[in-house]
Amino acid sequence: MYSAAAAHLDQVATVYDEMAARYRRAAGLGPQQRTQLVLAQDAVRWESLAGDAFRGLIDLLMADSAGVSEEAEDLASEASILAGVMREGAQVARHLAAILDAVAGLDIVGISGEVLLRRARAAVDDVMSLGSFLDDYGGVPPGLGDVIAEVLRPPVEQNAT
Amino acid sequence: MDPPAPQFPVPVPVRPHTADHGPFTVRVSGGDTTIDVAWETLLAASSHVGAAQELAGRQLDDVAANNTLLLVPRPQIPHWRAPLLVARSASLSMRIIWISGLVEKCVSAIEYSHDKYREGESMIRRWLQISELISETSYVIDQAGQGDGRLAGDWARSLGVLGGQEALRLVAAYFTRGRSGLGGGRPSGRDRFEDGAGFGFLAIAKLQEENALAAYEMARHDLRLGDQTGTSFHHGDGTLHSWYQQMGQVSEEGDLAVTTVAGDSGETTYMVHLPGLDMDITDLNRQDGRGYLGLVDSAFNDAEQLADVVDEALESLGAQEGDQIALSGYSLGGIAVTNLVRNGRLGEKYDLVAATSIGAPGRHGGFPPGTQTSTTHIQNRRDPVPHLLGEHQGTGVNRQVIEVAHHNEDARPEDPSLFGDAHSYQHYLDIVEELETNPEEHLGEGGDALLRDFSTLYQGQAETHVFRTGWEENPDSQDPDLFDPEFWEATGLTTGVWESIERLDVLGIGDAFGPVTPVEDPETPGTPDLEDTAPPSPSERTRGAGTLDSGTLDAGALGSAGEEDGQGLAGEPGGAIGEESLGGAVGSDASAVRSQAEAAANPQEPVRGHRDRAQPLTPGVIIPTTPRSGPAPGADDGEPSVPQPLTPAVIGPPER
Repeated sequence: MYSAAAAHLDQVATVYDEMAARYRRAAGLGPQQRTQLVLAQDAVRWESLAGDAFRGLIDLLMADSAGVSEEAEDLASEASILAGVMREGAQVARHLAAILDAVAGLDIVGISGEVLLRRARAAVDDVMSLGSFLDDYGGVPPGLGDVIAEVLRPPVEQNAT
Repeated sequence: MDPPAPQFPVPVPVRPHTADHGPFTVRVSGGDTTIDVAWETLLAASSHVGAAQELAGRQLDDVAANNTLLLVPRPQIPHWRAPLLVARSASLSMRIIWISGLVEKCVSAIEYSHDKYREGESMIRRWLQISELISETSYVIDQAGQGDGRLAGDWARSLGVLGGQEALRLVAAYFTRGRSGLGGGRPSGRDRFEDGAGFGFLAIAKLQEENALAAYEMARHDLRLGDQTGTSFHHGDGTLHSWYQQMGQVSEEGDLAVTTVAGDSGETTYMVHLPGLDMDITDLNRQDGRGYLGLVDSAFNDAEQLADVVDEALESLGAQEGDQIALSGYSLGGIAVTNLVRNGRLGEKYDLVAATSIGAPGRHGGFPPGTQTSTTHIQNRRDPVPHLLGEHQGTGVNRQVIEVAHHNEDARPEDPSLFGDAHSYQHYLDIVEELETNPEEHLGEGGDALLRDFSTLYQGQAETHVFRTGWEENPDSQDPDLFDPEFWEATGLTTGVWESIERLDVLGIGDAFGPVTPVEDPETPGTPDLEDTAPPSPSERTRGAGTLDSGTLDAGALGSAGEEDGQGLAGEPGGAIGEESLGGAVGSDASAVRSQAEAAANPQEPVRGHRDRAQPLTPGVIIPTTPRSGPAPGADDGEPSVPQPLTPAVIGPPER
């Protein structure tokens, strides 16, 4: 079964990956920037108030440049983590889609089973529904197939008793 | 040969070095002086900071792109890190923007300070040169008395050109001083002059400011390298004098010479020489390489086209990237040399080691940061050409100006020049020879280092190739013609010129004739009730006698105004004219009355006068409200017209 939510989350994950790459590229410019600042500082070696002020400014810029690089690296990591989260979500959606494929055609008996299946179908199609599904069930319920099987089984057992 | 590297502390004495040796006086500016070293290192440093800022700009581009992506709403699995990422990313971009702004301000401040310093230096040098010329007056008169009129001619030309602009400024300042006592902050004529000049108060200034002439001509014409017209062989002795002596022939044979000098280790140095202007004023054609278009390119286009042609000539003789080259030039060729160094095109491709110019118009402003070319400009104090463009030669650690006062009484040049003997090539050869003969005496210890950077290249077997150059019309040019109004509109020149004229306030001559206002005795009944008074129409508020309707204001009325002034009327001609004489049409300026009432209500608040300035409300005298042509009040009963206290005439706001 095709999962629109999984496809969408894959796209979002790719966007986060691209963002991480951009943050890393920005961080990577830091060393070149600091090289230029060192050259600037080396050029002004004369002793005067103006010279001191200029060197002070360069010190400030060096510190800031290092800070910007560090922050950009951090943001790159954050973006990568978010990309991972989105990919995990996509994986869940695909898993749900596979389960739904497996139970397709079976008669579902019982209110709870119907609700679960309806929510699982919605989660496969829509990212927001997937989010609330994950919130409620804490991710893909382990052995969702079993649960569904349980849901399907009771009428048989009820008939037996 | 490497240009002198800045050393710390600077080991040489602070120049300018001046030595007075009778008729041969030398002043040296620039070189590795303390201040020049400081400025150049600061500028070099600021260029590195600028490069760092450029990188910060690229960082910002990336972060900003991410911010845009983060703001695009897209359904995703909620995660606490996502909003945090948005906030941190936005904060990072703001941080980069803020620091970039700070850096930009600092870099701009450095450049601004440097420009201002150089401007100040330039002004001081101008005045110093003027003073020196003036101090020579008795010497010049003596020489003239002995039949040497040439010196007087040179002196007068140089003083005229050099002092012309300064004198004009002084005259403008003197005659158009703001009337500070009465003006109340009115911008003085000097301010206007400065304003106007800054804006390009004449079309020519505007053309120069926008560089429109150069842009126009250069878009329509291309400089081409022509045939090689001659080759000569000579032996370089390592002196500048023999170099310039050899190059003296170039102007006869062509427009550009390239000399190849074989070095000891087999490398070749290419030395380029550019002769002076070659323009026949009886034949102002646009084809000659060193004619009108050559002047435009060299002086106003940073010699961009010449750079290509020189490059082509160098390539034709086998020059390759990284080869050593040097440039020299006389007069027009000299400013071309300065601009060839400045535009950096040859310097990027070749190792542009040294450049010299003699008798070249000045060009202030520095070379690109990091330029290591040793540059020496030699100029004669009594040569007007270096001052023609109103600019001073810039100086720097590797850039030196040697100004010489020299006059050879025995010299008898054959061809009298428009610019005088002081500009003659032979005169400069004499100067160079003397400088090289006694360098320490004239330039101080080590003062000829930059000169020698050039002259030492001319050592050994040399071969000079002379080329012609010529201008061709560019058939692809789509630019409108210079005389086409579209050209003026497209380049913004029309607007600029009008703005300039406006700033000069030439059209504000009407200020001398304020709009006519009613003059009412406060006691006299019939003062218009403000509440009932309709706001004035624009035409009613129009100021200036020139704008008054001749049908409304007759000559008699104007005449009476002048006579009222004679009776001590506080105000100016035309500032108060009897209401009745104007038929009330102009005189019943409601805004004037309103202003008057407002002023009375709030005496602290200045009233807008007809010159758009605050005017003190001084008590004046009453003005007869009857026209002069008619009987004056009280005339019927035989009583004289007695001046009475008057609420001052207030004139409506000006139409600007």
